[in-house]
Amino acid sequence: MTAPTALPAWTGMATNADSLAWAQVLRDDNPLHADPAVAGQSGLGEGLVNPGPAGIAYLMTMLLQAFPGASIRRMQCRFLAPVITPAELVASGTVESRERVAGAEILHVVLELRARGTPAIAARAVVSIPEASP
Amino acid sequence: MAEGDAKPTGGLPDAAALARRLCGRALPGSDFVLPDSDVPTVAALARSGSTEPHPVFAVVESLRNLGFSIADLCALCEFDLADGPLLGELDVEFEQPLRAGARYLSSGTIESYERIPSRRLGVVDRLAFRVTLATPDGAPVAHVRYRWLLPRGRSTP
Repeated sequence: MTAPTALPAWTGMATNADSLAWAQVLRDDNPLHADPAVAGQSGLGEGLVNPGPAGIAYLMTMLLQAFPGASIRRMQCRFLAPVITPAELVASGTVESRERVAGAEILHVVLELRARGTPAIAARAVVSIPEASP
Repeated sequence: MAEGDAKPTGGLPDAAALARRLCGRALPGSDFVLPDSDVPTVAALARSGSTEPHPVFAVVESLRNLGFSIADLCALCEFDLADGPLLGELDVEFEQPLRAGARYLSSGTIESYERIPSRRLGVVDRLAFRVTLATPDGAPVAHVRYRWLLPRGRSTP
């Protein structure tokens, strides 16, 4: 059993253009992603709501940059608050446990994405790192 | 009105009737190719420098290939897309990586529908559904389970 290991923090910026582009890629016509007036009337905040999959993508990118060559086996996410763009983002993570299974090291990671300093996504991930060939 | 129809109660559709009508319902799904041209677009949006399809494509393709639009899915729940559905929870499991230019099949099922209170959003309906992406020969590639929140607080008479 090893001690939990913090991963390097990932920082970025999500803009209104990102919200619009993600909605286009997702073919999502939800006006929260495109019309600041709708987002404002919803009480969620002033700006555009960045589509949820964008936040998942940032967390996945953080994991793959922390573990080059790894693959994500599973990610479970709870959306705590919408990301209202523009927003500064900080993703953080901690490896809670490691195990070796069939030629791979399996990591269990706890993750969080904050937007404007507020928790937006809480997540758990399982990451597989292939063991180096002898 | 037929049995199972979501008769409005107090301006809101009947959540129990919606649940009876929706739970277990199959989503149409579709047959799709992960477009090569989307790989750099999604990589840039995800802030990834990789030239391989980003793993978030499992989520992207599961939503693009429900077999109908997100607005249609909301309409099934008697919810107006303009009222702003929100993603509550997501669980994605990978069996194998998605490949650019490869053909896949998507299929899905609505798992549950319930009305819950929310401090921030008022009355909220929670829709749970899952989508599986598979190769044309049926080998699973990814399983994505969603819980969407449909705020009903503004749907007053």
